[in-house]
Amino acid sequence: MSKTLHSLLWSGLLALGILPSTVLAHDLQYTTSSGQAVVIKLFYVDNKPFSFEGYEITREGDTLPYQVGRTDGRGHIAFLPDRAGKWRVKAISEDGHGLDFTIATNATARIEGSDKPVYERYGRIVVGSALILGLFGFISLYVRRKKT
Amino acid sequence: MKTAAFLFISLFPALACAHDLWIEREGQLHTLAYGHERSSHEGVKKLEYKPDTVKQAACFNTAGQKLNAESGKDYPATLTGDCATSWFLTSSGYWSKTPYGTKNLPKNEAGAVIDSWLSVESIKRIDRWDTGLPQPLTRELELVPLDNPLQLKPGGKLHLRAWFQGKPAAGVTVAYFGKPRGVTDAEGKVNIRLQNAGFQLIQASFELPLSDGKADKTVHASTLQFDLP
Repeated sequence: MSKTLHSLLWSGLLALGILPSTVLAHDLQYTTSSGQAVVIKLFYVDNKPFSFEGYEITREGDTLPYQVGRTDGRGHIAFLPDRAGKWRVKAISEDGHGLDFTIATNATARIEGSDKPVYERYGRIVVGSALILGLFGFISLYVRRKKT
Repeated sequence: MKTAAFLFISLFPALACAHDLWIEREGQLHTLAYGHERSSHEGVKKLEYKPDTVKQAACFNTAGQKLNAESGKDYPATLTGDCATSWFLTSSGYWSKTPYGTKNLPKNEAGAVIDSWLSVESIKRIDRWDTGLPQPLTRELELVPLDNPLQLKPGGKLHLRAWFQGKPAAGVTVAYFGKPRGVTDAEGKVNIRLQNAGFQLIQASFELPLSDGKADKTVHASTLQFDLP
């Protein structure tokens, strides 16, 4: 096949959009969507973010991690579990700080509320309940006194 | 609520790790250890350190006088002597926080740097007590009990003073097994309630600005170690 004919054939294939699959396989595409993710925030006791540090998330029973990466500048990890399960999260910096903990998700990740630490959220529930109970106690005492 | 799809915030135990220094003693042999200290529920996990990170080692009697003691320079660093108090000073060098993680490099060699520091850390173990020990033994950051800590019981209050460069150090954060419990006052004093029996680890740290072109600050850390009966 002459050189000119070869070039013409390639030009034709290109024009028709018919290209060998090996070429197509390297042509990266992307999509964007707004999905639900588990957002984990890592921070020191003085609230400084555990930023730009390496982490890995491994599903219980698996040997290879499901996700590896670095926390963002504010210490966040965004994680999209593909199934229900327990997930071990390990984040350790080179200078020896880190965390190793497990979370459980069901089929989809959906967080109701903020990304505040668990103790803070439960702490608020406890304080709220105590206030409500206290208020009821005060009202019933007031009503009882008024009756007598 | 649209779906019953949730993240169950787990109540599985989280293991926080910050590597600690501590001193193990067998008779007159004092060995510097590094890793996860003994209070961790996963138990002791020792990590090897570079012997050149150990800068000084010293042995003191109950009068606070420095004794002649033999230092082992290889890993693990050792000190052999009849020490009422043993002490090691280490420095892991310069650290730089970058978008690619924290690197053990000075800031002028680490590329894009967000924060940088020189790490200086010491550990002091008290095995015996007398009138010479309620005073600083070194010029580094040091936690000094005001009374005999070895006579305390779990639940007891340990009265401490932090010293640095021969002066009481104010504004030093003091932690008990890694959990901050207080900050030293203008006289360098702070009280810590001891919750556990046996092995005790009280840590102090503070920062000072540094202008050597290699880091923004020096992070001084110091650990006090002793055992309760």
